[in-house]
Amino acid sequence: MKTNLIALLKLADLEIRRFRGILLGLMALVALIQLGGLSMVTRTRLSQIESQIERSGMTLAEFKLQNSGLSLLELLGELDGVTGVAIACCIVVVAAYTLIIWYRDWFGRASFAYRLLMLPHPRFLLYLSKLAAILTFVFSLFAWQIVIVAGQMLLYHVQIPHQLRIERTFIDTIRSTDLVIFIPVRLTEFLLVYGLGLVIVLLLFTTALLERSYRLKGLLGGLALSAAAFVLLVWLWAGAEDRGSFLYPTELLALFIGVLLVSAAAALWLGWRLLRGKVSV
Amino acid sequence: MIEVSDIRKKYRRKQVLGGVSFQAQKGQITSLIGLNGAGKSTVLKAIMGLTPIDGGSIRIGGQAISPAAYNTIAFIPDRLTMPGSMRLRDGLQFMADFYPRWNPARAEDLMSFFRLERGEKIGRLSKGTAMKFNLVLGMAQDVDYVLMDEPFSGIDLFSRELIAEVFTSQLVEDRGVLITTHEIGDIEHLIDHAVLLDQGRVVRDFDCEQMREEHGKSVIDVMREVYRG
Amino acid sequence: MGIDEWPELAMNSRDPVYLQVVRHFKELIATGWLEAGQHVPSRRELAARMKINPNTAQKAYKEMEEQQLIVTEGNSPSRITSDAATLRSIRSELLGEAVQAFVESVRRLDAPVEELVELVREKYGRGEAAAEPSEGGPLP
Repeated sequence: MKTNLIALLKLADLEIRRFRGILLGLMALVALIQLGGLSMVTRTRLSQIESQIERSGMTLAEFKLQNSGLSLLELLGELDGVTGVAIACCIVVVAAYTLIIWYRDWFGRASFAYRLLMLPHPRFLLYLSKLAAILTFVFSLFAWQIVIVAGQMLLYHVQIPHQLRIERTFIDTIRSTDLVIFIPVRLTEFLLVYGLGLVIVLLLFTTALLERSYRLKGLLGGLALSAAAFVLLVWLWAGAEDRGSFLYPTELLALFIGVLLVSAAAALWLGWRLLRGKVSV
Repeated sequence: MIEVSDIRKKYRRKQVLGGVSFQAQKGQITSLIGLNGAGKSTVLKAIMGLTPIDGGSIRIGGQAISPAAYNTIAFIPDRLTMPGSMRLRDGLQFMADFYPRWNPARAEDLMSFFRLERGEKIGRLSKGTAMKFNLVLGMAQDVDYVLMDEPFSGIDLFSRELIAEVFTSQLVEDRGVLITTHEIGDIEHLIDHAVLLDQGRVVRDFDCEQMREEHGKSVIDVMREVYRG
Repeated sequence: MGIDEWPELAMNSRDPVYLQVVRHFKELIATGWLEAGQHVPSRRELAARMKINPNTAQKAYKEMEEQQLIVTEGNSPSRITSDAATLRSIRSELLGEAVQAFVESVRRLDAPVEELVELVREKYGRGEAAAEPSEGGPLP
């Protein structure tokens, strides 16, 4: 048991070291897009205000009284599309890496899958180690988003003259942007969003293993299964937002969590079975 | 003893293995001989549980393959299956981390026997050097059985000679070695037992010294009868 | 004994390897390279030196013990036999085999024995004369 746990940690460490470069690159890109974008928007707005002031001959304080200040939210609002691009980048890379993390072992020049499948430890450790690696990937990006918001607040303080600033707290800033979906501040939201994400990862993992076991047939089966679970979940989610739904929101929530748990259990069980006796190098 | 009984496998409607049975004894070097596409590699992969079979059974020392069995059997595939970004020392560390039966002293001996540099990147090795390192990874495990897939294929003469010396050393003593090859030349004098495979079936199965003693035939003579006759 | 200088044996692939090893030993004994009573290498050393499988080395030693070419007392390493009769018989066996092979190949040429003997005497003498100078002094 203990040796298996150590093996799991070492495998996860290995996986993390293998995507370190991709993760750091992605973090740099996202920071560049979000901070650079904010800086640009801010400069444009400031120069607009400056020319307005010059024309009217007001002071900054007088301008603030008339037009209210320049809030970070307002600036971020203008940046919405750009933030969306950054978040989309993260989602696409994570989703792609969820499959690449398996296929690189099979199709890489080294066929590392041979070695991994012959380790004298339960093969399910491979599944768990790759899952742990993906979660590390996701939560690194999650934590990075928080750092970026902090960075944006800092940038706001540096660039905007104090006469124009509207102070808000950190949590307020996060809560009132569209980022709230990806950085949920309430525990239930956090669990639901990341629970859904986790189940999607499990479904993709198991689809990859189905494909490695039964090739095209496995791939089609896996995709059908994943799509069915996903559609059901999205339908329940949409139902919870829709007031005229047949079920009460709490019932829908319970159902949603139930479906999540069942899908997760099914994906894990199938993955375990496939790794034990069906996958082929 | 590795006991392969009547294993069958189909791949895309093609019968890759059509009921293969043979045994590889502990303390002997058994060679699985066949032309390309005869199913040799598939047999080794099936023994190692790297590809499922459709029928038949495989026992290693009386046990079915399982993660625990990877402590008693090592496989040296026809390519070096370690990420190319690793250095040789990382590869050795990987083995030490995951294999309880890893023998670092023996790895050390083999590294110097093959004159391998620990600082080199795995992805940069020539084919011959990669196979030498591959042998280090397999041979430095304290296991009862070692499987090798075409260790001589596509490798320069002097590397082949050096690799063949492994079969004359204590590294193979008391172990069961199963080696596939399509050109027996390099190891004809070294193998105890030959199993000839043709189109997924065993066509001959004999003791090499006995064949020479009783029939005056070399392994190549028997191969010629089978594959040209 | 300089085991590193162990004379190489060119094997053929149709005779059993262990018998080729036994025969190689007989030649080494007959030519004096191995001396009566001398220790023989361990099975492991022999396998490495002659580039054979350790099983084959084992089998060759077993055969040599049966033919009493080597003797083992207790736990000490095996030695070449000191039995004069056995040593003589090795020499005559090899000589007999060589002559037999020679006779078989010349018989086809239908040469009279006297002519052969004369030819052998001439060649044999010349071979010795050619071999002698290079034995002692340095090469020119």
